[in-house]
Amino acid sequence: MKLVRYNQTAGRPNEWNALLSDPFSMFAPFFGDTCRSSSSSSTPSSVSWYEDDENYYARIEMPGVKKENLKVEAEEGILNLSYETGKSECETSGQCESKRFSRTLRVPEKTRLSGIEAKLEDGILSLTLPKVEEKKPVSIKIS
Amino acid sequence: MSTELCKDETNDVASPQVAEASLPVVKPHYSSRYDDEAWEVSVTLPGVKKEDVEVSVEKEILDLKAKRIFDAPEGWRPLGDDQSDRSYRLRLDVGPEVDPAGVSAGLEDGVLTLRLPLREESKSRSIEVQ
Repeated sequence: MKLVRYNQTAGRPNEWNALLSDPFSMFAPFFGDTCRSSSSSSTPSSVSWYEDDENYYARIEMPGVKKENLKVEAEEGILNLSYETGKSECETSGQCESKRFSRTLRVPEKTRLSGIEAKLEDGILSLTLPKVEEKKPVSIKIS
Repeated sequence: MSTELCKDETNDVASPQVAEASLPVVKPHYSSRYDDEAWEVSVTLPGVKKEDVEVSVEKEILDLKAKRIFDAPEGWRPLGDDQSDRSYRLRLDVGPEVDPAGVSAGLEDGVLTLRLPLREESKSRSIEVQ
């Protein structure tokens, strides 16, 4: 007979509430957790936008997300990011339900959707969104 | 062993001694679990480089300091409030069961995983019932 340590799970916060208040906090791998920090004490995962003359740039926090589990789709001024926990991840965490999350992001009007590039590094998704080339006036030579 | 690891000491810090005093200090999200050998604490630190993380355990307090600085390439202009740069600070009361000498840490995909091994005398044992 063994004495087994009591695994406290009763105090677990409602995951849906956490998802609604801070969708991307759920990307963090979590376990049979006995505690979690509350969303209010930390800044919600954020998106930072930049631009230069050629492109817009977005940096999106996605801690714990693997490149192979992330899908980025662009349509009509909207960018859809979706993520599903893979099997290996589920084995590591000991929680074998696969989880899916998605988030939509409005992209600037002048973006050329076909040219968007994405890179995931250190839990940050960096997107480069090329601007549509503006039609410049053509000067006509008067003969 | 108790389940008191979760006692959060972050707010008890009067004036955090972080490396970059001008950066906003943020408490990172974390979760924890334990097994017979150790506590495992998982802390989300997106965008943080390994060299910018500092972890210590002293007087039963785990103290984590990290910073995130994004050097935007030349010509990039921020749109709206740029809140990329920040300091992270987390302090957890790990109790007397943790062996500070054996603490290990790994940073992957913006998640820091800390393994806090228990002292021999704190590990659970099977007790044979006669």
